[in-house]
Amino acid sequence: MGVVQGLEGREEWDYNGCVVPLDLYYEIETQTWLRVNEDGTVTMGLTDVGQVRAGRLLHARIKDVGKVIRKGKPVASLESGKWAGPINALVEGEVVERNEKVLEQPDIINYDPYGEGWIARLKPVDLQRDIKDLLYGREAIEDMKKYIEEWDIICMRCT
Amino acid sequence: MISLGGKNPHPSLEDVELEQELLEELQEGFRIRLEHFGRDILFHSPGFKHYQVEDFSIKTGPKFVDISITGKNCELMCDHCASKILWHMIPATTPEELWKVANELKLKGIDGLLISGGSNKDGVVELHPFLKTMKRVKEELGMFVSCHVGLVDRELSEGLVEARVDAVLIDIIGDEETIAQVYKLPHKSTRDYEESLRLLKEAGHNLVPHVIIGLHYGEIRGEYRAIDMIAQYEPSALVLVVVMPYFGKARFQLLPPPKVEESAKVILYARKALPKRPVVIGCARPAGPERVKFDLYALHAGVNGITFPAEGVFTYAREMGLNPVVSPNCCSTVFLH
Repeated sequence: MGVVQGLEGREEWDYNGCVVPLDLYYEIETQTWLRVNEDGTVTMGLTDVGQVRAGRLLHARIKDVGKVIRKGKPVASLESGKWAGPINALVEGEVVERNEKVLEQPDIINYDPYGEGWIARLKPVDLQRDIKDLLYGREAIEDMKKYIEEWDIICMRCT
Repeated sequence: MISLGGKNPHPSLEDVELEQELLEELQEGFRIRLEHFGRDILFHSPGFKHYQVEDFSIKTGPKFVDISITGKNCELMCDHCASKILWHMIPATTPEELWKVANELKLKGIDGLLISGGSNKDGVVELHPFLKTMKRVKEELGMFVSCHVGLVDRELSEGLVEARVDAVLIDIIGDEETIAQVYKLPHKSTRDYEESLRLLKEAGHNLVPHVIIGLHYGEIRGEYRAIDMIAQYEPSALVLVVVMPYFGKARFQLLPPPKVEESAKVILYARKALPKRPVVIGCARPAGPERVKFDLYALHAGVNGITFPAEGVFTYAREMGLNPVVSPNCCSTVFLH
């Protein structure tokens, strides 16, 4: 447990094998992450803890490019053998890119939730307004730890 | 082909196309359901899976879960499952553990259990040591107990009566090669499945047989015969599920499940064979766009219920004039509605 230097030199916190990169925003309840890109768009995905809770993902649907999604409404839906649920937009915005690889092989999310397993890229309507509700990096550690303990989660990348 | 784009009741059905000719054929099933069951349709979401799509989710906590008396173990290791269906179940491999687990679940608000497990090499789930505990779970904890069995003999069938189980679930196979090849039971035949049905019915159980569509490596083989066998024994309900290639061994993994249109014809056949008994779609079926079509055809074929309906299906049912009833229970309880 603790903050370590992860792959690609980014700082990461890990607990029970669950990795939390410290350069991302998080919503703990839905176990989703958000990255603000240099061009002002945001990328979203499921956390390491989220992929473990879901189990090996078998099916993914992502909203079409051009759709405007309100904050809290589904931008994607995922399904495994024991879990099916939405990935809600963490900020209001227009879908500008879907991860086609995830649509073809959803379990990429299980292997690489913060990298190849990203889900969608959105162009936010009002990033400053919506991002206030998210926890950034180290701010997320305490709540993430509580969540991991409450659900008794041990993270593994192969399912 | 009918496209639902533009006139669909739910945005997720925009790209769905249904075959006009098949829909016309299915009308007979829908007429049967209206005649004998009216407009109620059950949408089940038992607690062993978190299930939330845009137009359907259960707001209450889990109420019905499944337990495996063999944990993850199965001696048979059939080609279509390789025991994976047991992996997500709650293990309780001794009677003492079953009692402890049932008490813990009761405290968490669970009021129904599906008790199952892996089979031995004769296709039997060895439930005998658990019967007394099951009776205690029923009598002292007041839980609904259904039991998913393999092949049964008279002793087990009567033991299940003694245990006061509420329903007995059994997979019925109507093809000898499927029994030998997929289920690894070359020394058993459809006669053994029919005998199990007979013994369970004679004992007076609420009988809820299951037919797995596409069980023979994705082909439709013994499904129609299995339905015929079941119809003779007036079950409390029939559950139809679809083989899930992901759960299978290597020979299954890359196979496509049966064509949705072929599966729809099996549903219609079941509806016609059991016009006065509930016919429901169970929880096991592959995810993805094909499931959307499967569920829509099932509605048109007049099923009484669908477990974990695909996105948009709940809304579509309402648009068809059906009256959706949401249930947190296992679909095997449909006969109680």
